Amino acid sequence: MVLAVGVVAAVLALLQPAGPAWAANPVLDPEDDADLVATLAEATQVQGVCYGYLLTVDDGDTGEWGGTYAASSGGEGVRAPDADGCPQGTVELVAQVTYTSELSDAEDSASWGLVSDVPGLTIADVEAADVSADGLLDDDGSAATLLDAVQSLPRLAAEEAGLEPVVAEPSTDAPPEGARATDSPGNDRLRENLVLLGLSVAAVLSGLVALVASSRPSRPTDPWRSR
Amino acid sequence: MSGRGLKLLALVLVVAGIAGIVALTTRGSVRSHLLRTYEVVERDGDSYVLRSPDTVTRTAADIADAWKPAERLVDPGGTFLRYSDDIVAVTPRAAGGSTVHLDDEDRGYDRWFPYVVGFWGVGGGGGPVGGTRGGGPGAGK
Repeated sequence: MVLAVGVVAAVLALLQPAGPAWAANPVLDPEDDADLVATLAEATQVQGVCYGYLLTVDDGDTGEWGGTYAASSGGEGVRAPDADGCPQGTVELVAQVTYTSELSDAEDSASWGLVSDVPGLTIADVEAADVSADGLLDDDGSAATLLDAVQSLPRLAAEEAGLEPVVAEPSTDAPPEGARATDSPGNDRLRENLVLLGLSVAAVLSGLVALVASSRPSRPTDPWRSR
Repeated sequence: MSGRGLKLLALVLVVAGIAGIVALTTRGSVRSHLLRTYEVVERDGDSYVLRSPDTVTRTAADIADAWKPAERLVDPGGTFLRYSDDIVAVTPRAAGGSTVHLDDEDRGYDRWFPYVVGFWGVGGGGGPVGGTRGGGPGAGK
């Protein structure tokens, strides 16, 4: 009897939809996290403040991405408040992303806030640099949004609370052979003025069409019609 | 509309359109904007070091408002803006305000390589170094 129940349970378990073997951070991959940790650790050395993020993902769609992810000056998977060596306190960006089912009418959503021991530093300071939590929902831009937001924290702490700034210094070493910028950034003037330029070209073309139309001889009056 | 009125409207549209095109295509560049706006501290060929009285956040935002960058990269040590021919790095000054570094694309990439590699380019050997700012679940609505 016990054996039969066990077999039935095993069969039922096999018939269940397979869940993800592990949840993956949908925003930052492990390499991003490692780079971020190294960058934040340098800032901590200068300012004595530990920085990091805590991202909670509720994946009501596939369930694949659901979970809680963190990285900080203290390491990958370590929340800033749990990091060691933070004599001046901690600053943590706490973000929440919700993916809804494709079948649901509800939209995906994202929000974030800042938990800070540094006085005067708020999430509004982060957002003043043109980043918003909605960027976390952008497949192509979510990583840049989170990285920009978290990496701006040491600079904002210096600006808002008078902490010693971290200063990027230009490299004096030649980069490795083959190092080069990729992807054309495009034309600055077109990027800046594309709409106005389009309107100007449209105005010229419209004007030329109108000019041609106005130069056409007017239709002669039918002499028989007036009779 | 009478033929004369139409002709007048056509001329106005052509003249306004040409004036717009000329104004927009000869507007200058981010380089001329920076040299006009900030105090030059140092010059080395096409590279300039300029000084802004404002914070990095404010200065970078002002520059981006005046000339929209193709890409923007934020680092604790500064903000990097990429343009078609120039790279602009805005870094904090301990004494207050910020320093604006203006370089052409090649020199700027070489100088700021440790910060922008992996984001705007490759680090030699063909593969990107550092983060790629990609990923994402592909599940968004």
